[in-house]
Amino acid sequence: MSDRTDIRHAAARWRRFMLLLMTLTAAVAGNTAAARPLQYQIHGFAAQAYAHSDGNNYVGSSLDGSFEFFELGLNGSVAYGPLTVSAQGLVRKFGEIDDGQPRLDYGFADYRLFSTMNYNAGIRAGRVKNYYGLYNDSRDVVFTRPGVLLPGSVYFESTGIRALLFSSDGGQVYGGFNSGDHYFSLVATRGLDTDASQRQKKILFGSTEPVPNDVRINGFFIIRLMDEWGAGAWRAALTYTTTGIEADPAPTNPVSGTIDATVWIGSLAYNAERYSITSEYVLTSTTTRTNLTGRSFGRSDGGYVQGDYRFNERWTGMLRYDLYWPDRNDRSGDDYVAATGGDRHRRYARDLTAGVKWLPDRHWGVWGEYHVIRGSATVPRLENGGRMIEADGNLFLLMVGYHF
Amino acid sequence: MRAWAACWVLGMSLQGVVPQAWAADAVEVLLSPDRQGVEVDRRMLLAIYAGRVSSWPDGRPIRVFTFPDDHPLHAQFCRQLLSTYPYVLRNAWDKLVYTGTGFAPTMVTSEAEMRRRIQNTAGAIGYASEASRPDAAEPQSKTGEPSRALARGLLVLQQGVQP
Repeated sequence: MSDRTDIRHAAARWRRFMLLLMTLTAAVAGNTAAARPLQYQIHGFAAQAYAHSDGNNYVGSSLDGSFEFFELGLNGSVAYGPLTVSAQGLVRKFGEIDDGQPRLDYGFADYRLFSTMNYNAGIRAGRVKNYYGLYNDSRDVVFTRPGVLLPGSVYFESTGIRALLFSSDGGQVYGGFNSGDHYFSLVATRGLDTDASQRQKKILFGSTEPVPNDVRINGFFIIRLMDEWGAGAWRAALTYTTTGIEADPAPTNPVSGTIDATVWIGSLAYNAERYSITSEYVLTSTTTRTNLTGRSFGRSDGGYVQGDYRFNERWTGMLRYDLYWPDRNDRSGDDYVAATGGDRHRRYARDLTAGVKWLPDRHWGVWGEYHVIRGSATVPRLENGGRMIEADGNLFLLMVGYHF
Repeated sequence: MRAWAACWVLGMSLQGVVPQAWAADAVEVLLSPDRQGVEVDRRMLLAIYAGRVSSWPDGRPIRVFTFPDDHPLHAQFCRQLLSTYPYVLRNAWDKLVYTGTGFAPTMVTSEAEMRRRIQNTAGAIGYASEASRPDAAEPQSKTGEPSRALARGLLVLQQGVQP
């Protein structure tokens, strides 16, 4: 019953927000309708990967060689004066984690409140992308990623939080201003409280079986501040996000409880003519309360540093070192082993990656990547159901993509 | 000591006087006829090409034109007028397009087409080599070609940057 009340309240808030948006739009459009031509664009992308690994399944059933990783998207934007409407449809397969069913990746109305040469600000409503770190907002387009796989430490490519990161149904405010050589920008998103889909629940809890409990995502908020200077040579960003997850007991699974999570990310990138250096650090704090285990508090952290070298306009080489610890107070895993008798390698992941990117023309791209992975903290549990997870492994990835 | 100081003063004064070698085939910014007289400084140019602003001060949309990433003139434009590199702009444009938050510039492949599109598109901005002016000796600002004042302004702009 409380579920329905929540949904009714959410729907009412949504209607009020859309009404306000439409009123604003109508008011401004009425004033400035003359001589504002319609502007539109359509773009798309498609990419298919092949993954082969030893040790563990890292992408689909990569131990046997896997093509279960592809992404396909089509997007469009229409602008009329200060109002822009954009949407992107996405089909993505990533082993068991992403099912390859079509979904609306984003679909929002963007109203630019003001735009001068030095200041701009606006609001967006609908399904908006989450601005998290440097890459989350376009994470499913290989042409905008720093490799075939994003760094697992910061972007949770194979763990639960990923399910919440794609995009949010809610509202977003954004703004930016120039000050001397610096351009400061801010994007803040408030997601509506939602019931987690079966897909989200499976990813959240790393379960290969359907999760019978009702799970709600409450109070999702994310804000990113960014400073760019040196004509785009330097970028520094700070991201903060917080969310609550609430699970009700189910007849077949009497566990109930809440998880409150906050994530901080610091990002820094430098772009020179031939090379780029990028580094990000993530710190996640979670407070978990359940009817079985009581209250517990945990902190994980990790980060990566990546260097890119452009041999020429077509060829780029990449080297990345990515580190992740599920418990930053127990990096050695000693406490974990003492408390649970489990495997020490579950408490860390070190991924050394070497890669190459080839852009034969302005539409095509080919990526090759080799990961040397030590520790199993980032091994996707969904892909390894029913088999013993090994400490170490190596992963080879090849991806071919097209975009326009 | 005094000799060093003299050399330094001479060097500094020469920097402002001696024309730089590449100034002969410099890149100039083109504006559509309805935008003549708009002062475009380096910061404004970067804000426009990085996709941070989408409209002119009077609210009209900005139509941005560019050459392909691997076009020599594009590299020269990025370095000399924006102090950046083609791949940095490409990353910014891909972000705009695939997040639905902005429009990528329209790509043209020849200088003649660039000049024609700028001439015929309201609110347009682009760039081309000075050498490609139809009448390089006598630019006609009334027909939408960049005025002498703008070209002079851009030369001044360029001299702050090393090629």
